[in-house]
Amino acid sequence: MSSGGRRRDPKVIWVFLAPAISFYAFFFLYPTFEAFRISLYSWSGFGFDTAVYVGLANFTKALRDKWLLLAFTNNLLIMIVGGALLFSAALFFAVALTNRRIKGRTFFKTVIFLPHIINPIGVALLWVFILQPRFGMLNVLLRSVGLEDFTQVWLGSRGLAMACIIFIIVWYVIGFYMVLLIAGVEGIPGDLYAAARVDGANEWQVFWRITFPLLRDVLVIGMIYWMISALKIFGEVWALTRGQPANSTHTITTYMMQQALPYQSTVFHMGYGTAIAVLLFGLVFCVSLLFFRLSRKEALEY
Amino acid sequence: MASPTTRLFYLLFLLTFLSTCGTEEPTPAETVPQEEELPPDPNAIVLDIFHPFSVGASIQPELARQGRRFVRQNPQYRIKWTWAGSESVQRLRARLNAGDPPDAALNADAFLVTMARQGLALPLDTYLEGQNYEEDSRWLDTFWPGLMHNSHVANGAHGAHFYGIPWSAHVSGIYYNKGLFERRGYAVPTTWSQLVNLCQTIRDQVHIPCFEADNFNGYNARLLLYIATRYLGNDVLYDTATNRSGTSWTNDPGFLKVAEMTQDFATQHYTRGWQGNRWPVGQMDWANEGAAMILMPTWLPSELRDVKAEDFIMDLFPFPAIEGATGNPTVSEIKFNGWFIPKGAKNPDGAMQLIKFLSSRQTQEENVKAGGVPPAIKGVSLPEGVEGARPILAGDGGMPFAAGLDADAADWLQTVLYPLNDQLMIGLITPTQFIAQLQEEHDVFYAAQAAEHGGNL
Repeated sequence: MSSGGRRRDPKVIWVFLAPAISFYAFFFLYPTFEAFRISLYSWSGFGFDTAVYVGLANFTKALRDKWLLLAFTNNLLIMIVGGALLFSAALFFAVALTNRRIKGRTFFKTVIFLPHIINPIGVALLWVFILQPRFGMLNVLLRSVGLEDFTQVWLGSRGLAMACIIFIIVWYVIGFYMVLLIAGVEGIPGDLYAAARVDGANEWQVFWRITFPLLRDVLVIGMIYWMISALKIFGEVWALTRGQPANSTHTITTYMMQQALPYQSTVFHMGYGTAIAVLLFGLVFCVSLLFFRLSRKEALEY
Repeated sequence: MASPTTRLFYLLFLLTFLSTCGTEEPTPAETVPQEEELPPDPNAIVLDIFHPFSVGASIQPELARQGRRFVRQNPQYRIKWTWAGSESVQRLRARLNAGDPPDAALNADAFLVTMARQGLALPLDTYLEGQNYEEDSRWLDTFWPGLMHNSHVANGAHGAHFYGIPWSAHVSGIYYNKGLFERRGYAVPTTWSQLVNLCQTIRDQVHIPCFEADNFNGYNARLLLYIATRYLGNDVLYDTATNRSGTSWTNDPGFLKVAEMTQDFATQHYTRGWQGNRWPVGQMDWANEGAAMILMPTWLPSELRDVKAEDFIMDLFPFPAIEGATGNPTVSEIKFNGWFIPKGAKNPDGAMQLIKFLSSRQTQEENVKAGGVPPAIKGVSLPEGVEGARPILAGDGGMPFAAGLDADAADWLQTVLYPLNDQLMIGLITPTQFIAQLQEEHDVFYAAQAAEHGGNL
C-alpha cells in the first residue's frame, strides 16, 4: 500500500517538533539574543541594575582596540599560515597513505591521527613541558647533539611563540584532516588512475590532473571548517601561553575571555567581552554562509 | 582462527580485566574513620555557602569537616556548600544575577572591593565590633592588622565600611632556597645592593641563575612595582597610575631610574628564558634548584607541597630597601582571601556565625596543618615556608597587592603596564622607550576612560 495518500496533520507535526524547537529556542536563540542585548551595555556582569546602556559604543571601542586587532591578526595567521601548512601536509599524507605500495599504512595513519584523540588542554600542557627553555625536551635534545645555538625561548619570544602555537595546532588537528582527505582520495574510482597510466601519465601528472581536481569538494569543505575552527580557536592558545608574552599571542576568544571572565584580575567587562563575542559570531556566520554557498555547488561527476 | 596479534590483544585485555578483580585493599583515605553525617532536619536553617575550592582540592575536605563540627555545635543550622572550583567567579555571577545569592562567599580581597563598590556586598562592621569566637577579644583585633586595611573600602556603595572577613593571609616577598643559603653561608640581604651583590656571588660560585619566574605578566610586574615603591613610594606610583596627581611617567626622572633598575636586574639575574615558562613550570623549576630565589606571594609553599623534594626548604624575606631612595623602604604587599555577605543573602547572621567559627584559633590552626594555608588571625602558627612573612603580617606597614592597583586599576595594569613591562624585562625595549610608551599608552587609556565613563576607572 502506498503511503503517499496519507494526510499529514500540521498540528501533529508541530507537536512532535515542539520539544526540539523549545530546546533550541531556550538554549540557543534566547542566549544569542541576550548576548546581543548585553553587548549594548557597559556592564561588569554583576547585577544588571548596575549596567549602563551605551548603544554601539562597545563595538566602536572594539574596532579601535589595538589588542583586539592584534588578536584578530593572530587568528588570521593561524588560519592562513596554519592552513597552508595543514592542508599541504594532510594532502601529502592522504595521498601517500592511500598508495598501496607503501607498507604500514594503518600504523602511520594511527600515529598521525593519535594526537587528535587527546584533550587539547592535555596536548598543550604536554608541549609546555617539551618547550620549556631550561629542561624542556626540545632544548635538551638540541644541546645534547651540540646545537646549543639553536635552543630558543620557544613560548616566551613574541614571534616564535605564535609560530609554536601554529605548529602545535597543526600537529594536533592534522590527523582529522588527513582522514577527511583519505576518504576523498579513496572515493575516486580506480579506473581513472588505470586509464591515466595506460595513457602514460606519471605520478605527478596523475596527482595534478586527477587526484587534486577530484578532491576539490572535500578540500573546500575542509578549508571552510578549518577557517571556522581557526576563528574560534581557544583551548590550545589559553593553555599554551594565555595570550602572553606581552599580550602578543592572544586570539579573539582568549582576549574576549580576558575581558569578560578574567583570570586573577578584577577586570570585568562583560558588556565589552560580549560585544567581541557578537563580532566573532558575525565573522563565523559569514564564513558559514560561504560554506553553504560553496557546498551547494554541483559536485564533480565521475 | 584469530591471528597471533589478535590473540595477544585478547590475552592482554583478559589480564587487565583480571587485575581489577579480587579483594581490594582499603586505600589510606578509607581507613580514616569518617565522621557521621548529620541527619537532615526539615526545620533547620540552611546556610548557603559558596567557596572557590573544588571538591578534594587543597583543604576542601578539612573545611567540610569543620562545617560538620559547626553544625554539631549549632544544630539549628545545616550547611549547603557550593564547591565552585576554578569557575567560581562565573558561577557566583550567575547566582547573583539570578537573584539567588548565597549567604556567604569567599574570594580575594580585590574582588570584595569590586563587590563593595557595586553595592553587592554588605557592610560587616557591626559583626567585627563584637567578640571573637573564643570571646576573649574584639573580633576585629584578632586579624593581622594589614588585612583589615584591605577589607575597609572607603568608597563602598554603603559608605566607608569593612566588607570582608579574612580567612587566609598572604604577603609577597623573595623566596629563597634556604638549604643553599645555609650550605654556602649566604646572608639574607636587606638592601638592594646586598641583593645585587648576592646574585653576582651566586652566579660566580654556584653557577645557577638567581631569579626564576614564568610568563604570567601579573607576577612579572611585581619586580618593577616593588622597585617603584621602594624608590619613589607607593603613593607616587598609585597616584600616577590612577591619573590622580599632576605627576606623569615622563616628568619624574625617578620612573626612568625604576625602569633601568628593573631591566638591569631582570636581564642579568633572572633565569635565561624565564618568559618561556608557563605556570607552574617556573615554580617547579625553582623548587628543583633551578634558581636560588623567586619573587612570589606566600601561596607558593602550598602550590609546591606535592612537587618539591622532601629536603628542599624555603623561606622568604621582604623585598630589600633601596639605599638613598625616597620611597617606602619596608612596605610589602599583603592580601587576604576572605568572606563577604552578598546583598540579598537570606541568612547573614547565621553565615557570620559560621564565618566566626571558621576564623577561630582551632580551625585556623587546622588549616595550617592540613594544607599550609597561612592564617588570617594572630596567635596561630605559620605554615612551613611562611615564617619569614611574620614581621610583614604583624607590622602595620602592608599595602594591597600592586600598591592597590590590583583593586583600583586592574584594567590599566592589564592593558597598559603589563604588556610594556614584559617587553622591558625581556629587553625588547629600552627603559627610555618604556617610559615614553608608558606615557603614550597611559594617555590613550585615560582619554578612552574619559570618553566612556567621565574619567572614572
